Amino acid sequence: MFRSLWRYRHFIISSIRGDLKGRFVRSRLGGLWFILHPLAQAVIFSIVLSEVLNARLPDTDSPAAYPIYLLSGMAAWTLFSEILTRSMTVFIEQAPVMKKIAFPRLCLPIIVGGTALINQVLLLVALFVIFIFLGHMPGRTLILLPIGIILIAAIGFGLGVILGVMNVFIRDVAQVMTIVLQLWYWLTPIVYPANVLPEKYRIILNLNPITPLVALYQDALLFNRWPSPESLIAPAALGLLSMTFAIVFFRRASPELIDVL
Amino acid sequence: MTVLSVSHLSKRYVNYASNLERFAGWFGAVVKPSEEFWPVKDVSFSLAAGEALGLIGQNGAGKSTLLKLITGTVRPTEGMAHVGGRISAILELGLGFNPEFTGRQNAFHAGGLMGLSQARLTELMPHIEDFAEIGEFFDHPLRTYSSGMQARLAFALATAERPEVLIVDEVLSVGDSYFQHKSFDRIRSFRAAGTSIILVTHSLGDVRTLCDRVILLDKGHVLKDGPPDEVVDYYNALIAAKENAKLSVEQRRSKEGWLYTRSGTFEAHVKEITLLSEATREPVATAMVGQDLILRVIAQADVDLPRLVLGIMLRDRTGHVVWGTNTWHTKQIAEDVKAGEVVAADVSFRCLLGPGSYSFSPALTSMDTHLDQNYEWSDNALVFDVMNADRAFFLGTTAIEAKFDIQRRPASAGVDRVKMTISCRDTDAIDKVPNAGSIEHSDEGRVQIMHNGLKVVAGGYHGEWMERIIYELRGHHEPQEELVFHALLAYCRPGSLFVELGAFWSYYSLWFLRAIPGSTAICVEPDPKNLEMGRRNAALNGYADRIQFVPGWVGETAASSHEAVAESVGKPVALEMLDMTSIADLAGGRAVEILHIDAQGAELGFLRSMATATQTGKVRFLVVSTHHVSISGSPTTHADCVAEIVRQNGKILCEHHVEESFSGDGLIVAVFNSGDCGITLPQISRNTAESSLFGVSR
Repeated sequence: MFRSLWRYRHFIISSIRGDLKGRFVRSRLGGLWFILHPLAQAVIFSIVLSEVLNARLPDTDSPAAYPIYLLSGMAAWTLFSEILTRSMTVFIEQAPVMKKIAFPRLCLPIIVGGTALINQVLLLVALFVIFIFLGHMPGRTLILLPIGIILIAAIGFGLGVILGVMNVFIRDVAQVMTIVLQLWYWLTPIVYPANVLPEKYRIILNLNPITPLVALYQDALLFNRWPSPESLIAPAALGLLSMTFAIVFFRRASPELIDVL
Repeated sequence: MTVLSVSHLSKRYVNYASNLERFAGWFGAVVKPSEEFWPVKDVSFSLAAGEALGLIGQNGAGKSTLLKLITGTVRPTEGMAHVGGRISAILELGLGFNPEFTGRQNAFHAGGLMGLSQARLTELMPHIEDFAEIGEFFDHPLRTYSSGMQARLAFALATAERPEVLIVDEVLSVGDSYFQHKSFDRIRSFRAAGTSIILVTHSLGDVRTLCDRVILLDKGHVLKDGPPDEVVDYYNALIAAKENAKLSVEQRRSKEGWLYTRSGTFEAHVKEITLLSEATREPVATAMVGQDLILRVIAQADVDLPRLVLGIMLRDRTGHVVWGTNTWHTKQIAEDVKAGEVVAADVSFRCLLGPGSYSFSPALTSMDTHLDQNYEWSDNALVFDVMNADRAFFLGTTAIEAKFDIQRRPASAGVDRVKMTISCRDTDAIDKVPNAGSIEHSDEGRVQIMHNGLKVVAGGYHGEWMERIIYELRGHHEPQEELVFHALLAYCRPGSLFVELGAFWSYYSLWFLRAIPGSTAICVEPDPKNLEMGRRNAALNGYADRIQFVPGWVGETAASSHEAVAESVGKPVALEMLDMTSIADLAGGRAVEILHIDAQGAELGFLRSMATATQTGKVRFLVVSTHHVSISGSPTTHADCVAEIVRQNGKILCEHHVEESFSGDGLIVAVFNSGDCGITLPQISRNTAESSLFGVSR
C-alpha cells in the first residue's frame, strides 16, 4: 500500500499545488487573504467579546492577550475541522475519477491532509505577522507546536476517513457532522477561556480530546507555558487509534466503496 | 498471444437491511444481504494481441461494469481478469484535469494519476505537445481552452504511450473531424503494433467497420460472441422482437435513436415494408455500398379509394432527406382501389449510400403531397445500415464514383546534372509504355517504369537525380547511347548472347532480354551492392534465370585475384580479373551479339585483350563507354579506344566524346563483321564541352 502511494507521490504533490492554486489564483489580493481572513475574524471577535472576556484571561498582562488567545485557538481548530470536513466528503467529490481510473484511493485523503497542513503553515506565518503587529513575540515553547499539529492532523485524518467512508454509504453522516462540529467548536475553549465555565461543565471540556491540543497552541503562542505531558496522552492515543482504525476500515470498505458511488 | 483473459468474471452489488450490517460484514460478521444484483455474471473471453473487440448491448446490459472490472476500478466478486501488460482506458476525456494548471502541468498531473512516472512523462511530453496540436495554448491555463482543445490534450495524453489493451468508450465523437481522424489513425497504428482494442459503442456501424469480433451482453451474460455481422444482426433481431410486443404504440424511439411515427386517416395502410437483396431476394438489415437492392412495399386499402399514391422517402441518421419520390411523379397512380385490395410495389435501386444508418418512410396519399388526403404516413418505418465492405474508405452519405489519378514525381536532387541530361531529346521518338518514367508502389517497394515497361528499383541506380532523369525522359537515362542501342537491337538475332561488363543495374541486359526472344546475358560487376541491384532488377522482371551474374574485375590480362576499391564498399575488394578470353570461356564458345563495356576506365585494357576474339568473329557489336581522365587516368582514353578498335579491323558506326555527352561518358559503337559494315545508326545530338558534365578539360 505504501509503495503504491510512493509511486503516486508526484500526483499527490501536484494535486496539493492545484488545490492551493485554485484557492487564490484568480482573486486580486491572492495570498494576502491568508492574513486578512484571520485578522478580520480576530478583529470582529475582539470587538464583540474582548471587553467582556479580557479581564478573565489569567497569567498574562499583554493588552492584546485576547485576540492572540483567540487566533491561537482558531488556528488549531481550523486545521482540525478542515481535515475532518474535507476528508469526509472527498470520496463523493472525486467519485467520477475513482470510478474511471484505477489508482490508490488513499491518495485522496492524503491530498486533503497535505493541503490542510500547508494551509496551516501559511496561516501560522500570517499569525506571526499579526502578532508582531500587536507587539507580541511567542517564546521558546513554540517548539512544541509541531507536536500539536501532528496530533490534530492525526485525529482529523483518522476521524475524517472513517466518517468519509461511512458518508459514502449513509449520506446523512456529513450533514450530522456539520452540526456536531459546530457544537464541538463551542465545547472547546477557543473563543472563551476554560475558567469562565461553571465548575460542573468543566468535565465536558476535560473529556474533549481537542481541548489539550488547543491549549497547547495557546500555551505555545500566548502564555509561553510548557503543557503537562499527561494532558497529551489521551489525544496521542486517540490519534494513533483513529489513524489505525481508519486505514483498516478504509481497506475493508474499499471494494464496496466504488460500488455505491 | 493472449493479452487479456477474463475468466468467469462476476460482479455482485448488494444491499443490506441496514448499513451497520454492511460495516459489520467487513469485519468478518456473517451477514445476509437483503438484496443482491449481478450486473456481470460469469463472463469469460480472451483477447489476442491486435484484436479489436466490440462490446454491445442495451443500457444496463453490464458493459460499463465489465469495463470497470477489466480496468480494475471495480473489484470482481468472482472470477478474474488478467491483463498481460499496460491497460489504458479512455472512458471519459479530461478526468483529473485541473482548470488552473497549464496544458503541460495537467499532462504531468493527470499523467501521474494514470500511473506514469514523472521521468516517463518528461520523455513523452514533446510527443503529447505534438499530437495535441494546440500550439502556445499548451502553456496556458486549461480554463482558457475550448472544449475541443481540451479533448485534444486529453486524447494526446491518454494515448501518449502504447498500451497492451486500449479501451475506448464512445468518446471519439468529440473534437473536429480532423482530430477524430487523427485519433482513429493513432488507434489503428496501436492496433497494427499489437495493441488489443475494446470498443464500447451504441453505433452498430462503428462496430462493423472497426471490430473483428463482437460480444453481445445481455443482463450481465455473454449472449453471443462472434464475427460482427452475425452478432449485430442477432442484436437487431433481438431488439425487433422486443419492440414487436408494443407495436400498437404510434410513436416510439428506437434503440438507435430513430423516431417512429405513424399518422393519417388510416384508410389505407402499409402491410409490409422490406428491404431485399436483388441477387438473393432475401431480406437484408445491412446493405453493402454498391449492392443492388429492392424495397418492397405492400399497401392495402381499407376502404374504397379514388386514387392511391405511394411515396417513399430515404433519410440519413440526422434526418436529412437523401432521396424521395412517389408514384404521382412517376405517373403510376393506382385509381379506383377497392377496399381490401393490395397494391405491391418493388422499388429497385443501387445502394449508392455512404456507410451509416438510414431509414425509409412510406406514405400513402391521394395526390402528390400528403396535404390533400393523407391515408398513412409512417416515419422511419424501415431502418437499415449501410456498410462499406469492399470499397475504399470514404466519408459522407453518398457513394460518388470518384477515382484518384496519382502521379509521383521524384525530388529535384542534382538539378544541374538532371537539366543537362534531359536537355537531350534523342530518345523522344522511341515508343514508350503509357506509364513510362512513373514511380509505382509494388510488393517489391518503389519501382520505376522504364520506356519499354521494364521495372527497376526506383533510385537504385545512382539515386534520386537519376530517378528524376528517368522520370523526365519517360523511361530513359542516357538519351544518346539509348538511341543507338535501340537501333542496334533491330539487327540482333533471336537466341543470341549479350555481355555487359560493368553491369551496375543490369539495365541494358534486361532491355536486350526483353527485345530479343530466347536471348541470354552475362553481367560482370565488381561492386557487390551494384551486383545485388542488378539481381533485384532482373528478379523484378522475371529474368533472373536468363542472366548469369559474375562478380569480377575486367582488364587486359586475366588474373585469379585482383584488388581494387569498390565504390559502395569503400575499400579494396579482391576478385577474379577477367579478360576477353575469360569472357569467351563464360560464353562457352558462343559468339557475343553485343559486348557492352562500361568499365570505369578499364575499357582500353579490355579492348586490347579482344584481338583474337574480334578476328574469329566472336564479337558482333561493341558498345563502349569511354571515361573522363578523372576516372580513367588518361586524357586520351577515348581516342586510344577508337584507335585500338580500328587496329582490330573494327568499323566505328557511331561515337562521341566525353565532352559531347549529355550523360557523362563518351561512346563508341563498332562492328567487326564485314556484313554489318553497311548498318547506319540514327544521328545523335552532341553536347558542347562548356555544358558537359566535366566542363572544358583542356
